[in-house]
Amino acid sequence: MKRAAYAILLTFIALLAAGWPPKARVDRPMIGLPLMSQQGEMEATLSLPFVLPGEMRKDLRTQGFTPISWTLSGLKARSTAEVKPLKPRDPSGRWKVVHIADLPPPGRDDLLEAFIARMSEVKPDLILASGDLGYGETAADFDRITTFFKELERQGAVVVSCPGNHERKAWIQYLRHFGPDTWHRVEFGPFTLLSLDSEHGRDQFTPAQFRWFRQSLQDSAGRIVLVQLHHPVFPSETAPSGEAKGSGGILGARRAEFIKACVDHGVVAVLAGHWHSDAVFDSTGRLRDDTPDFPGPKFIVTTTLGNEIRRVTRWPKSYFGWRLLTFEDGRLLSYTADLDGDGKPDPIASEPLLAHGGGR
Amino acid sequence: MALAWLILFLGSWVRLLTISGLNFHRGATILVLAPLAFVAIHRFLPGTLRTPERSSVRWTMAAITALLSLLFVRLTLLHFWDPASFPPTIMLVFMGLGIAMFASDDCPNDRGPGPWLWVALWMLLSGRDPVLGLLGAGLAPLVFHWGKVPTKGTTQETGNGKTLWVFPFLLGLFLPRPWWDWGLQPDSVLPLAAFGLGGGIASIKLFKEWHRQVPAWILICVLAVVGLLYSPSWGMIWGGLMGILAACAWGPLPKPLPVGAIAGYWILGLLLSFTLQANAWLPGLSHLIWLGN
Repeated sequence: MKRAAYAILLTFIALLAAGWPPKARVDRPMIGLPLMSQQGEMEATLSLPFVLPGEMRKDLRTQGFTPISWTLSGLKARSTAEVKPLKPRDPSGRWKVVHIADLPPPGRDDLLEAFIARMSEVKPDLILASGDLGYGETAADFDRITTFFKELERQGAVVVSCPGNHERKAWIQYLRHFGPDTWHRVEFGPFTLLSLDSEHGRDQFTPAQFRWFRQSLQDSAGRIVLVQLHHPVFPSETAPSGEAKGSGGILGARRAEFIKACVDHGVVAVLAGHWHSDAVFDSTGRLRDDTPDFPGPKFIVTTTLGNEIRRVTRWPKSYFGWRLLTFEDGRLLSYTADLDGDGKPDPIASEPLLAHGGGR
Repeated sequence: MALAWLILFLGSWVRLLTISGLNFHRGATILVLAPLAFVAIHRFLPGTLRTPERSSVRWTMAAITALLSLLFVRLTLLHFWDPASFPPTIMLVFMGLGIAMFASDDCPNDRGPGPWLWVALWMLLSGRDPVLGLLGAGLAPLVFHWGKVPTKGTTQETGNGKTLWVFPFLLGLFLPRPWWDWGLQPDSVLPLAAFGLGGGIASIKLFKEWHRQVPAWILICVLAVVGLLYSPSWGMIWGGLMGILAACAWGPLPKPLPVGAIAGYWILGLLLSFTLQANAWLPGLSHLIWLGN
């Protein structure tokens, strides 16, 4: 008993010595993981269990947050402040969601600036960034991307991101800049946004993540559900086993269960990147270059915003681009560009970033 | 002490490396492989890494190890340790050396539920940050060598000791699955905390006598089946069962423990476990990522 008491005392002293003065790491909201709506919860990890730093306590009170649960690992707090219902920025009442992936590497800030300029015209409500956020490996490279996201948010859009395979090359920097929640859920107006981590090499969800995904779908009945992950769900026709012209793998195990869950729960779109090339599939895995209008979830791959351009499927158009999804009355109105200018959206095509396309 | 070295130090060390990654272009990163060298010394040069006989020297070493672990954790807590950062990595290396030395001592306090419950406590605390597992390892010499002198007894080997070498390997293979599964989510440590608790319960005298009767091959088979059946839905029950089985296997191991060999098999299991979860693009293995989950 004496030894047990000594061990407990030593633990207590060591924890105090390691964590004093108390500090906190806010894990939510973070860049790419915003806190939205009345139900939004703030999460923090604390250096000492159950001890909140004085400054943070003051901040929480000022912002109308009330602690709702304490755990050994940290604190969850809920905002009690009154939040006005969100409205679309567009006067027509349409929600605009922009999707980007595989962002320009260091040295191509001109492309980031071109995108920011374009977004100031488009005025999207939401921007989803599906991994490979900057290709850099240093803190400065990650600062560059968070600055880019902050600029977009300053314009009025909300940015929600998930990691890609290149983030794994500087994982510590990713965690420091984007927080430890590598898969997460964000409620935004009528949307439920589920961001997944398909991991590098593994190229699939872990069992815990997949269980969380299914539970989140069940809790999202009646909402517009958008899912984003870095890896495409279906193989390209040219590389049915996964390697898409050197662009890496597709989603590995649990693909059938994932697709079924998306179909069963009425997911509107599953957005991915990784291929540096546009593609759209239906839930049977068929490349839909015949029409943009088909029933069921759209499994969308968006081309790179500014890295190497590739051609992965039989779809012939390649350029730096981004994708605009518009919604009205809970319905997806369009998700492809009208490249030929005939007034109708073309199949598959994303919006070119530059007038000359930036590639082939 | 050996248990704390294996699970809290070597286990947390491998886990942190899988989070932070290894970049051999930066010098300090190579230093984090030092614990592998300690394992090799234990294995191939037994007796080299031992604590001196003088009690005051051992106390000093234990205190320095604890202090280094404390400094390491103060520097890295809530900040995601980067192995390329020189000062904390140096601290980790020297702290690892200290723990490795104590791990080879056969101390009477190492028996019974104490070490298992210590693992449970620090696994639970490491939900806040994985570096806290290393603090638990660094404090272990101060706890388990308190008031007791290591015995220099002759090697005893119980009936099924020889076949039980597979246990550290199987533990290394299966036990980190919740870590790979949950990543940095706090829930990742609950099955491991349950593991320590299960081991603690199975180590009390009443059960010890009972499970000594169980043939080794049955324990091996049950451990393998339970390990394979991991699911996040029953993670804590799974961890508890794994702890009970591990404690059953731990009892009949030779005394003093051949820590080098045990640590070698444990590390081998850990590395294979990581390879299986990470899909290292090895032919055939990509289809075996934890048997398709």
